[in-house]
Amino acid sequence: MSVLIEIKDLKVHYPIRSGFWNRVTDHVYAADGVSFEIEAGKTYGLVGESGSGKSTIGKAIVGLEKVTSGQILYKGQDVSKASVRRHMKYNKDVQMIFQDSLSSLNPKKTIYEIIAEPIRNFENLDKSAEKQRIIELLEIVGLSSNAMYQYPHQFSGGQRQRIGIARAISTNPKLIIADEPVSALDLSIQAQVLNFMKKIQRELGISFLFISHDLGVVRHMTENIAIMHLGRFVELGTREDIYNNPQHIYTKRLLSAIPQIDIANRDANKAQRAAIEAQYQAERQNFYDADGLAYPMHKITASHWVSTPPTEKGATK
Amino acid sequence: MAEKPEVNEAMAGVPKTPQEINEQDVVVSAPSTLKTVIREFKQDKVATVALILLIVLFVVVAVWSFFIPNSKVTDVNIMDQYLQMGTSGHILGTDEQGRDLLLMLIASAKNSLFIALMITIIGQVFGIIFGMITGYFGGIVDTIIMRIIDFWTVLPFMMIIIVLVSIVSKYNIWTLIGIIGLFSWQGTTRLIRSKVLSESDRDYVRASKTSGSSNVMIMFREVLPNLSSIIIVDSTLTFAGNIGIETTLSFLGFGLPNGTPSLGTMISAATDPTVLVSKAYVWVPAAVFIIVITVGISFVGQVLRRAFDARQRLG
Repeated sequence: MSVLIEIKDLKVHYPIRSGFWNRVTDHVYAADGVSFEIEAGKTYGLVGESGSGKSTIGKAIVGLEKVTSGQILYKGQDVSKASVRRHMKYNKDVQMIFQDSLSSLNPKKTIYEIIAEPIRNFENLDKSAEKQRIIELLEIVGLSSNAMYQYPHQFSGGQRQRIGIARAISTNPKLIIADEPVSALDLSIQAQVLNFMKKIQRELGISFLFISHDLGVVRHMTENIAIMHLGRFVELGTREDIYNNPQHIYTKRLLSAIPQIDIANRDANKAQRAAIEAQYQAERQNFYDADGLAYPMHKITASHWVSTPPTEKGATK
Repeated sequence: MAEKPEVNEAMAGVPKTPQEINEQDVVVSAPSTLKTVIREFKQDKVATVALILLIVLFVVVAVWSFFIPNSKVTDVNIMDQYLQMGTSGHILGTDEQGRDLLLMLIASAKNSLFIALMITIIGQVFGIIFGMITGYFGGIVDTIIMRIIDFWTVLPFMMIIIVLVSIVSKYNIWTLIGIIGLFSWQGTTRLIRSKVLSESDRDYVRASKTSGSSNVMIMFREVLPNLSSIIIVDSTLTFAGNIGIETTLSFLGFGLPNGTPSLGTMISAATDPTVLVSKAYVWVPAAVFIIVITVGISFVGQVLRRAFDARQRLG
């Protein structure tokens, strides 16, 4: 498979200003030296706790966040600069689905105008072709063509998120960044929207970068998973690598936190979670450097990368 | 806007078992803006009366003023000086120059309202443009524009207008509008800026960016429609204030040039003590007109403000 986007040592730092002169006194390291590749047609999951920088990475890739340093390479060009993005119509190929479906749709615009916006900007279609395309898109996301003339507030959360998806796929993108697309929806609608995204992904061959803190959702949706902690990757691998053979202590802790409905073994599960938590507290200093940040990752199998201390290179088992 | 969604009445009446209801059938709609405004007016009787009165006055002034020949408000006729109300066909009497006060009132009101309207438009247009730019881009642009506005607002604008009016040589209604307009956009800029700051942090703005829209397009095509409510309210209320500014200047003698009737110059007849005391009919109608218009506009503005802010609503 060909590499679609390559992210090299991506850093996004926010300045903290304080003091009388409002000078920059420190930085928030939202993303701190992240590197990975996105291959065409594959799904990637980006998992981590709140504030670990996963949304920042997504926004940086789509061009909504200023990159402090590092490169995002697409078709051999560094798209971390706005001028390059505009020149090569980058956002025609890379689109985003937002978490809050209501605020991501302009309340004063009809669905037609909302979906038509990227089409008008990136493709030169005449009026009737444009309308045809919008009806087609609404059909793909399972909405009737009447929806065109309605306003966002007239739809339910699930329908709105599907309108967001229709907008994202309207220019036939190669990659869609989905920033917690279902976390604002209730469970029954979550399943509906997720299956829907999976179907679209299969049919249109789009790569997905799926940002979520919900490990169940990520397992359902993605083939490759990256675990983030405090702005750095701690583990990167296929779904099987991460779920069946977690190497980093944070990954283990995160996986043990998935709630299980297993009343018969409730005490056993509870004990196991306690054991992992105890292990995390005990071994913490082995996995994080003096500043409490994760070490750079090392390859342990062809697909599996783990952040380990330099001295134990590839030796953790 | 945080309007309470209501299940469409037609649907609410029909009992349905859960199986029968499918997605297309359930129409959840928020009441339209117009409906909300009408409901708010129904809740406020005073404002409703004020609105009707305003509409009547504006229509009468706008239509009638076209039929008043200029000579009626400029020609001096000493013979008819200070006629009482209702004498020889002058319903409101005549002033010092013997001009019919009713016709004067209509012509003055037309000039004053026109000036106030133009100033409001200037203030809103520049206020919206600067407020948009400063709120949307933020950072250094915001700092520069806001500091200029801070400086501008501490200037004693009445004094400056009077000075400018005195030094401008070729002086007419448009120069007056321009000079007052210089001081009419700062408040609107602040207001628009604050709203744009909160709007431009919403996801639909980000979605527009990833959809390839330029900043100008996002500002004026995406964000601006969402500001329509506060723009309507702000222009209504500043309109009332602008009538006051123009009439004050005319009253002081720095407003409209001689020969152009204004409500302010009509009231300034009261600076003559005998007129003030014994010939109140000369200046009272103009004063009452100004009070009715400005108070009426304020009432209507309050209702609009409540209609667009769900927390303040009465109904």
